[in-house]
Amino acid sequence: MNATATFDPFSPDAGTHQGGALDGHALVQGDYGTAVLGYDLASKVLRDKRFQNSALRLMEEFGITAGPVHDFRARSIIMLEGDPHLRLRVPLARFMSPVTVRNTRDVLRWIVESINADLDDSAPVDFYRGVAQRIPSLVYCHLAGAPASDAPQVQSLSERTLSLLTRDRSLTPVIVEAYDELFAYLAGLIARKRAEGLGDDMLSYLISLGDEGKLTEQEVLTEATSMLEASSVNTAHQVGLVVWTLLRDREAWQRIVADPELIPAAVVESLRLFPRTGVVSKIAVEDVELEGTVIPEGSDVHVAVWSANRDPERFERPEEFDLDRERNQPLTFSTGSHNCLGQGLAKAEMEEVVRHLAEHYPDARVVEDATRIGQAGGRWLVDRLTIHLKP
Amino acid sequence: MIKVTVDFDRCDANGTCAALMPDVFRIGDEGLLEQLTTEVDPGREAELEEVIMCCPVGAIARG
Repeated sequence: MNATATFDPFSPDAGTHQGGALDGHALVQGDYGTAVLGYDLASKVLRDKRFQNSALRLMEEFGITAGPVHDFRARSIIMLEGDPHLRLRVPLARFMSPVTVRNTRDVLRWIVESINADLDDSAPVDFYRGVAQRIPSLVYCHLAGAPASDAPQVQSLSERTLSLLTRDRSLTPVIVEAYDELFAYLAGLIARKRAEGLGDDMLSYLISLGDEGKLTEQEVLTEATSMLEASSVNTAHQVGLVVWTLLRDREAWQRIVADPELIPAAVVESLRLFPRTGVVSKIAVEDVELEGTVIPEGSDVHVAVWSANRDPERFERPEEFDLDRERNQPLTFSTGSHNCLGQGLAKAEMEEVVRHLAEHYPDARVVEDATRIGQAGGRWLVDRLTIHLKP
Repeated sequence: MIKVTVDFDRCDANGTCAALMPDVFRIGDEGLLEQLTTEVDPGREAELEEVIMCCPVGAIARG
């Protein structure tokens, strides 16, 4: 074990680390395994095929060692490499890139506006539950070609399935039950779409690839499951984190209100400082040498994204919110072959929420004593975000 | 010929383009994207459009 092992990426005080290397070490070790703290090394590890996603092992540690849920995870897009990986990735990519998202801006705006229309802006509102949490599942329903009335169930399924990442073992029955419900939901939705006729949505496209023999039936379901589990919970928290960041920096907020062209840069800078996924966990599939340290096959490697995003070697004055940062590529959506497929869509959702607030509620304020946002288990999360829209 | 440009400041090297047009894009040993040619035959316009549409960071353009 390393002398600098006082750091633990999952401990509640992990956020007290300023970011970047610790005492000159971009890589530290502890009981949890290895943690990668520097930006360059983090990028390298995230792009390196010798490190595999730890989700399957985490599931096995939770006692899910066989059966449909385990089998789904084992053959899902995040666990594959090379050609089998790209075979699953490419069909989904075309629905979520910035180019495609441009064509769905109007729908995004309409979704944001219709949600905001429900809000009572005369008193402080719970912006997380009232807005942030409701948007991503509605966007998923639009994209997948599901009825908007399914959105609450989609949101709940995404939250329950991905609760694996809280690393709380008591949740095992909740997780298994949620996947069973998810499989049944998708089977029903696919059957309905077949009966009603396919459209130009993502799920119809996957079904047609199955009909053409380009994907197996099982792959169609695997793809659809991956998209649904990833659809909502992380985006919901990240929307809350972005709004929280921007409304508290009044100088930046005034600039955004005056010049909405700054919104995309403002979203990226917020993503850098407060990444929902603060740690991306990998497993070495062979012995790998990094910075003179051999990471043994089978050991855990945790990429501390939020530390990399605040690495002073990569970002000048990293702790500052800077709307004019150049070459701003935080690792919030990871990087390389397993980067977040939905990042273009997620960013567009955040941009539209911010645009709506800047246009309609330029004086909006966070009610600090009724807001709870923090970092736990390597992830930033919103418990409560109370905003006074018209103070 | 159609000109193909990659904004390397944006590029995230996820490799979707390399899967679709392996003679134009490649992921190198360091995991970074390499552009093998800056022009493609006009007959491959549809292929290129698919590549542009599928890039998760919008880093590829024509012209």
